[in-house]
Amino acid sequence: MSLQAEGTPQASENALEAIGLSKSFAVRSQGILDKPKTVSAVSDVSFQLKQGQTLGIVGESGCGKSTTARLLMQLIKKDAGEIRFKGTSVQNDAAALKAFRRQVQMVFQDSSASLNPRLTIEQSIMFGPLVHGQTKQHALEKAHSLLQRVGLEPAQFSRRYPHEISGGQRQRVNIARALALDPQVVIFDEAVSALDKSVEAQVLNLLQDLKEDLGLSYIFISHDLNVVRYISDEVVVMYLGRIVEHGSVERVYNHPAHPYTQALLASMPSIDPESRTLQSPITGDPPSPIDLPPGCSFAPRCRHASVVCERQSPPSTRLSSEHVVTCHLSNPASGHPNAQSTPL
Amino acid sequence: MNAETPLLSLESLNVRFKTESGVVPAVQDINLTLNRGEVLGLIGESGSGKSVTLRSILRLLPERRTNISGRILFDQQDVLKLGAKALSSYRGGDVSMVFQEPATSLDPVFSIGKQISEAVRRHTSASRSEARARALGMLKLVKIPSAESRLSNFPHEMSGGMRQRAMIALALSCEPKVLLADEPTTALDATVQIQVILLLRELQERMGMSTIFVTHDVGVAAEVSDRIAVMYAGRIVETGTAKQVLMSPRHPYTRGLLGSTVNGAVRGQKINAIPGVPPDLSQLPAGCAFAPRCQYRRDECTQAVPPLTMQADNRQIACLRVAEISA
Repeated sequence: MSLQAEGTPQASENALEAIGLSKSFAVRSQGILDKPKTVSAVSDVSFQLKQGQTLGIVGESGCGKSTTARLLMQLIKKDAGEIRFKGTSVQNDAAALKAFRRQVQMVFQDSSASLNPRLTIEQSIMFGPLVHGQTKQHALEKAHSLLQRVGLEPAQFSRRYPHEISGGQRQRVNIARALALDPQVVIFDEAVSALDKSVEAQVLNLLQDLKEDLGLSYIFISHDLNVVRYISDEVVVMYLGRIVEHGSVERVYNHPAHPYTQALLASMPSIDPESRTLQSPITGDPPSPIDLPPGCSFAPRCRHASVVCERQSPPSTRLSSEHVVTCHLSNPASGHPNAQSTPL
Repeated sequence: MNAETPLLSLESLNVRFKTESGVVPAVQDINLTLNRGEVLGLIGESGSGKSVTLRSILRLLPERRTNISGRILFDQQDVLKLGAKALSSYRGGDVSMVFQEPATSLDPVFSIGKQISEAVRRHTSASRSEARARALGMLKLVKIPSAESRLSNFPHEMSGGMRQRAMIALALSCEPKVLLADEPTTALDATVQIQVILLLRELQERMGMSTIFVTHDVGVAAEVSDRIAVMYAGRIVETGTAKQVLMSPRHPYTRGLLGSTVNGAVRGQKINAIPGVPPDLSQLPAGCAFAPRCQYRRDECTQAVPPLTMQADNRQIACLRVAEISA
């Protein structure tokens, strides 16, 4: 279930929409007689990115955040599901993909690995516009104005190579490059995670400015709950390939309903040395996503788990117009002994 | 030796790296003391010299390319003057280290049990079976589930959190007096990070060891530290109790660092980011290295490096204008 109420034809409000996205990867088996195993990296993921908003995706490593981003960009082929851009389903042919990728761009975590080391900064930014048939003069002007826009003086930076500038500056170049084709949606996959805190703050400020000035919509993927809270309007919490909770930032952070979201939020270190965390909210590591057991995949670590959690996948329950949780506890009809209809 | 003498002290420590493009001062004029049973948090951004300081304490820096001056006193012995034999009993026996990336710091071709028992046998007179028992005890101590069967596991067979627990077990197996922890929770997921922080805190209290905990994460520092030292461009700019430094920072850099976190920032409003970037260590500006980014900068800030001065409330700050700023 996604946040938007069913049957309301508001497709044009959504910049980007994912409907039932799924992807599993085959894992090489240990011996020749072993059954082939699969990792379901992403299963049945649906959400809408509303025009002009930021959708945050949080979760720990292996939860499928990055696979979701790659599926949205169609960098990997989805097993099932649909992606809609501005209400129109994106087809899987070369021409449609080219048009789609012009509108939807991505910024990655590793700022140096995502730039060609043999191209100067301006060449990197011009690359997209040139591929899409713009003139060299136009592409160069665009590159210089974007460099200026992201806070890098073109006269000083345009002829430099990626290794000649700092990590924060490189990430600004990646942002400029992502904007070179005037996209409507930008997907940030841990784009500020590798930056120092003082530089991270500058880049976050830049992202806010760009979004307002250029009317962009963002998908912001991060493991850092504080950053996602700061930048997002809505947030999706993922665990082992599934969305466990989805809602407005205010609802999810102030009234988390899923036991995993509660644990994740309680795991954030306290900033006050006089009120330290005294007890770990959950124990153990996230399990391997290979051959997940039936039922709720969080059940083995969940202190509320009951028999029903181990047997049946939890249904999605709408707690309010802007808050959906996938947990037996929140569904009075689930058969969970402690189930209740109000958020915990 | 009496209880007031610090267990470990760094006196005018300078570390310079010889590179192709000249000599880079990575750490300059560090004076630090670590008391018995104390946890000292060392915070700062990348390139500020935190890890270099830590590594110099264990003499892990490449000797040919590094120029170290000053003194590192452990139990009144100068570590920089230790001979090969004394050094190898000091490393791992008296002082040991936990690194950020357990996957690359453990040996991939030996089982966890083997690696811990090897360390135990290296530093004590334990027999093979005693060392193995010790390894098992350590794995139980760091709360690795089904420790018995984990002894024979190789690092790649364990999850990231489990590997970090195993490395902590290895580091503590010879009951060191000082534990050096270099971003030990940075590579871990949030729900695992808090477990490892709590584990380290519990073990530190139980075993009474002194700890230097390097982190760039202010929240992690708040969770573990008694005292905090803040580094910027190779120098310490502020020290004090965790409460003093984190709750009422006085150096403009510390104030900027704490002010620029998104914690508590209101959505849609700008974060008070420090302008500019940390300086290139091979081209440090004259005077205070933070001056080019500092809103309180005056001409005198660029004349000479401000000394780390003791304040009335027993904290140290390296800023010429600290009295005016905190007034």
